[in-house]
Amino acid sequence: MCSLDTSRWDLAALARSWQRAAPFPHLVIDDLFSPEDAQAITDDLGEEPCALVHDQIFEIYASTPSVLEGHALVSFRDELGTGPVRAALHAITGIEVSRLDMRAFAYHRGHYLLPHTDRDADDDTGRALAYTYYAPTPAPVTGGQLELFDCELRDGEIISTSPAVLIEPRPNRLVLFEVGPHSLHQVREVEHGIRLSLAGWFFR
Amino acid sequence: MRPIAELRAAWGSAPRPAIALEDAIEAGALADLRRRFEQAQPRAHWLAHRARCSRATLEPGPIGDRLRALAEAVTGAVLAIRRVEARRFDLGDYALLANDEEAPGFELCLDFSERSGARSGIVYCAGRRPYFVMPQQPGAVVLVQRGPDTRSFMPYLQRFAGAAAPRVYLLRIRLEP
Repeated sequence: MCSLDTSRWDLAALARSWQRAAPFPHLVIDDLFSPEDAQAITDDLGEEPCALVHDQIFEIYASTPSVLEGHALVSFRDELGTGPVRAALHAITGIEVSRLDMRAFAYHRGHYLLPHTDRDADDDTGRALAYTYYAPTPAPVTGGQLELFDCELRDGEIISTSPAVLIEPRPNRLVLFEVGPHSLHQVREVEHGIRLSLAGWFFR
Repeated sequence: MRPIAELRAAWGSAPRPAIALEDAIEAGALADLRRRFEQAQPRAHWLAHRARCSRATLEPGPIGDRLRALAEAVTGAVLAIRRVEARRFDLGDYALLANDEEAPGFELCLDFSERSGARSGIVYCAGRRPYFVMPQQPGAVVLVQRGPDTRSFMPYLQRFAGAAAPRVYLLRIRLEP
């Protein structure tokens, strides 16, 4: 159903973009799917069971971990895990990945995800690349940007932070970034609309 | 305010001692504390993965002595003030568990805001598991016995709340025997 034709990707250009990206390696790919496939994802997201989850750094609606029901969503997840896609990601990032996970998210007005690196203290999650796909929404979303921070580290600890890059949740956009001690990022509070996304990690 | 005997009983009955008192400090004293906070030229602080708030150096004055005496009456211990932190949280501000330190002892926290309206005040956790939530209410005081794994966070103040949301002023006093 949802197919990704990586032969359309200019891997050399994407690799250069990845290497030059600041404050840490990341990539933005627009128009990932055909309009029909993108709409199929949005339609499925509207039906996907989600629950409100919150803790100290987030408040969002999220699907059950490791469980997706919608056909288009499962198709997208499976497509991302195929050999050609993983090979393309390796060509772009230099990182070999073995598997991925995916959850559906809906950020309503007032929802947010505070700054974090996607790494835990022991760095044993195996997360190599983080990704987010923004699905089309019936109404424009304001707020909800993915914000990347520039960090100064000392002895492996972040000692200063400053906002560096703001990525809009443009419909049918895929964002990828390398998970590491520098990969501090947040999702700004949604002001209007509903920000729909599929997100997760590729693992080593 | 609840009788001391009742507070002592509540304190002694919890596996992780913590009590909350409403209207522990009168509005006039709270207003004076806010005024002194603002006069102390609070500085914006943002270390994104830890906290975003405004901080000022503030001597608690007579309020500190009153709160210390209250803590002694409840705990039965002789206590000294070791550290005082004064913070203001505006829309978009927060403080995470990583911003706190695991330091056993006693902690008082006073809400010296002008009004209520935020989802809560400080949330105390054992590890990452919340076990005690301070109400966000002017004049509210909590007394918490911090264990070796106690940390706390201040929930993010959502911007969409707009004018309905208060500026949250908190005075945290660390006490030790």
